[in-house]
Amino acid sequence: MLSLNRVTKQYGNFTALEHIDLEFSQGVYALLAPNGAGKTTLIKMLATLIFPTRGEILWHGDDIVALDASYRELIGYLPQDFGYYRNHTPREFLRYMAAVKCLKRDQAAQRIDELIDLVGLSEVRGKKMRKFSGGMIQRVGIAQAMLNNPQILILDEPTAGLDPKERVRFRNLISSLSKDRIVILSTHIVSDIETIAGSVILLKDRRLFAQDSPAAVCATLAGKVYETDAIEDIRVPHLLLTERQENGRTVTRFASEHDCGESAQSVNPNLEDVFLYVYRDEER
Amino acid sequence: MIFFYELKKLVLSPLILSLAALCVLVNLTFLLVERDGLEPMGQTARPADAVAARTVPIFEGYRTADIAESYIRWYRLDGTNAQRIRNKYDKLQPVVDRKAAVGEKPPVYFSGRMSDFQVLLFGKLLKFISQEIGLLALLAALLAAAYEQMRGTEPVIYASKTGRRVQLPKLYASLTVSALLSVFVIGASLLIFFALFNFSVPWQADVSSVFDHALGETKPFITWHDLTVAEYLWATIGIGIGLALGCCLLGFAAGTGLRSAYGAFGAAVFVLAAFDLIARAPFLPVGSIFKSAWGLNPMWLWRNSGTWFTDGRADMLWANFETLGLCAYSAAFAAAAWGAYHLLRRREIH
Amino acid sequence: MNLFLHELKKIWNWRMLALIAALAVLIWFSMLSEFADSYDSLSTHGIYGSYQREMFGLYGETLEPEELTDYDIPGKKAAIHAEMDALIAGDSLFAKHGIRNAEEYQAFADRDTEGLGEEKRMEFFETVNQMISRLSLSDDKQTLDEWYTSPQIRLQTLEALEQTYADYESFLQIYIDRDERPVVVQAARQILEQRNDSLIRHDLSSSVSLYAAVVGVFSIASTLLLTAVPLSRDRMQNMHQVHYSSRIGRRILKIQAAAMCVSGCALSLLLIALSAVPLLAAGVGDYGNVSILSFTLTDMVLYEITFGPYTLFLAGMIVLLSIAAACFAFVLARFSSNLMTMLIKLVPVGIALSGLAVLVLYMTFSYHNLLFSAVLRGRIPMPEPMLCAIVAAAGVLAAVIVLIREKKTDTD
Repeated sequence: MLSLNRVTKQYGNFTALEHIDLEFSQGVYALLAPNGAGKTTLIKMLATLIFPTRGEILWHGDDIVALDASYRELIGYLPQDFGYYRNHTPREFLRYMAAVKCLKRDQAAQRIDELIDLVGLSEVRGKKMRKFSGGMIQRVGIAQAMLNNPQILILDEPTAGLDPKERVRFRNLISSLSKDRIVILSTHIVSDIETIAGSVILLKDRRLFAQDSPAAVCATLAGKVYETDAIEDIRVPHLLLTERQENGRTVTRFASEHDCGESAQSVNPNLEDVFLYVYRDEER
Repeated sequence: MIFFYELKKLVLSPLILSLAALCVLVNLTFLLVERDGLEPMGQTARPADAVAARTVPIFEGYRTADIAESYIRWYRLDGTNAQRIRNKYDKLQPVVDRKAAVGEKPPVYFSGRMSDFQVLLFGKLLKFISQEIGLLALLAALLAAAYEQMRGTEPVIYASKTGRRVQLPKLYASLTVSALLSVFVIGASLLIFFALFNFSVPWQADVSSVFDHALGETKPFITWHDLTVAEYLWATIGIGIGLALGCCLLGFAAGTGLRSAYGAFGAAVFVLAAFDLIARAPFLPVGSIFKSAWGLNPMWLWRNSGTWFTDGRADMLWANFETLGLCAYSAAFAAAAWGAYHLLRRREIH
Repeated sequence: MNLFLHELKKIWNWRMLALIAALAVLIWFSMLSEFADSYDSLSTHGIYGSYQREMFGLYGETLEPEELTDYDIPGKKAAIHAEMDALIAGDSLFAKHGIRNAEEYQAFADRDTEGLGEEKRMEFFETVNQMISRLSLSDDKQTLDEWYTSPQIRLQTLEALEQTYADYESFLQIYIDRDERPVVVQAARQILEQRNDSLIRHDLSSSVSLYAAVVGVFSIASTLLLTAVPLSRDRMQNMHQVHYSSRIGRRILKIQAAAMCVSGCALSLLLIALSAVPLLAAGVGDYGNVSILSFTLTDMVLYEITFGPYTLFLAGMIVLLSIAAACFAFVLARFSSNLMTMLIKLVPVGIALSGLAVLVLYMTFSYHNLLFSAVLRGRIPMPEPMLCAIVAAAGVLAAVIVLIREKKTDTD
């Protein structure tokens, strides 16, 4: 079990995260927050790239900083800006990554072939990565994170740059990977996690705002989300969520603490509604 | 395993290879220009001169105190600074006496024929080579140390099992590449030298006897230890490579310790420039401990490469100053590299 | 214009300026301060002692024949001989060798040693050295000033002065008859025609040109350090893609190139101005209107210009080389994907330009200048500024080619 114990991160006088208490066991954890809320800071602490100013991060009770390599051999990490060697082929790059992950050579070769197939790069495995699209690069990134078959998979904005088809494929991949490991992924794209996350973590004002299953998180807004095609008729205080065109009408989705009567239809809230509602005051 | 990957990155770096080739090309051009100027040198000296010269007993009755006094007069020294110079040359006297006494190594004094060779090979070519390989080593180390940062791969690598320890194989790889490039540049340049010039010297003769006098001075070429010409060449090459490896450590320390590659380069250049410029500064009096200690730095050693293994000049107070400088600065740079590595292990990667 | 200023602001960042300032301080204390410190000393402790300075003080920029007569070198020599006679008469070393006066001493010192055995010859030289010491009034506590006022050294420096300003014809004739460098022959003729009348300090052009060479090398290095980073960093951070797709488009590269060139030029001018202050404070300006065309026992400066324009030539060459450095930095930065690769390319270019700076700036316009003498064998007049102009033009041309090419290049 991976746990964060009152973790605080400060940069001089600026506090990026404050008193974060979290626990991770098997499953997919989605770190949901707007940009600048501290997701990447938290992710980087989990990847040991930066260190808590106060508090500690424990793996089965041991500080991950003290565990050093024996912790890092358990993790797979895909950073937000995934750097790579432009003149390498995916296979060459993965071989190097296998070396720094201290995998045995024969074991690594087999694993590399498997992963290249898994992320759908078989046809370009011998091509230099400088010609790759953003999605292909991201898939190489996912493959490198999976190389050591990690117990903890840490993914920072993993779907950035992927097209819709690739995102669906990625979601399925994460879902299948999460069966026997901890997957922590940070995103602000709600649809990426709605169907796969076992737990959603919301950060607000540098602190932990909520941690629960998607259904439970959504339930916090139950009875407060409405849809209407005549928003101008709503007289109670409300928060506009989304708009969509439907049969030539503009259907507006909004949240309100008050009963809207028959002028609007109550609907089931989704994670996007929760996101917009929770972060209504945040600058986006 | 990682070492070989890191080695491959450097060995296959077109920039580093081009730079090494450029060094050889520059040396070739230099030697071609020098050949035009030294044409008569390639010819065999008049045998009569050589035979007559063999009988000149250059060390017999030679007083090293005279060297000390000439320096003291030249630099107008007095007090403790003058006394230190006298002490150094007092220590050199037994060396001269021994050289005079050794019967099996009679002086082979070439009456000036060797001078141009000596200046060209040890005073110029090997000096340039030493500086070139030092620069190559510095750049190779900077490249190795800053490689992941430049490509944005630090996060994935530092989060792997090897983590920040990846810098160690990088260090070993840059040291290996520095040594390989040094061997390449030295080998190719000396090959060109020996192809262009008829350097027919008695390789097994004592270098103090073969070389007429210390470079640019009138005193004899007195080495602290008995070295043959071949041994002297190898020893000079050894010190040159040692200094290059020292520069490699400096480059690694700067590249690992500073997050900006340009800043690291700037810092390394500043350190080397400070070594050279402060050593030239007139406020350091000749004969002072500080001047002598400062003169042990790599830049000053390169500048005085033609005096390695000899008494050096007045600003050097200690025997074997080149070995002393090499060891001291290699240790200092290694400590800096080690410190930078440990700093990196605690540094946050944003 | 606004964008140009932004680019300038990116280039002139305080960290790099601090590094340059720190290096400048080091270079000042280790190399340049010596010039200012020794400027006065060299005018009294050179090959002409203090005589040349005295003549400049008495007669101004040129030495006319009647002024030379007025200075009375033979009379001064006779007075020194009389002093030496007195010294010799009272010294046992001279008496031991039967020498009674300066004339006999001169004859003894000039005797031919051919045919003497090695031991005898060494003994003879040792004796002459001892005699010189006596006539130089040498002792352990003697200062340089005292040494220069001794009869032996005064005689030597006066003879050197006489050879330069009275007996110059024979020396120049040797150059006219034998020198294979046409420009040197031409200059020797001109100096002969003008009776070698320039009273410029014998060490001035060589000292100032060495000073300029140090400033030039530093200016080149500083220009490379200062200008290369922003463009390379822009490309590293893919800013160029944003630039290229904006309204300004690829013209941004022109603005960046211009900003780099202007920065190189401005930095070199700033360094030149700063480094000129100590020179002027030392009194170099006194020679502003003196012709550099002169022959001394150690040097021949070849062209009929005064010292003021000469320093402007030096400054101009430094500026041209700095512009070349900025242009090459632009080209290299354009083709570097990160700072490290740019640096590895920049280092050899910097070394080559610095080498070139030393080649052209040290002993500029003298027949000792390496480019003039060793490379071009004295066939082309004033090759130093020409080479600087060629190098600057090559840099600008390379930058222009890159700019033209950029219009049609795919951006990755």
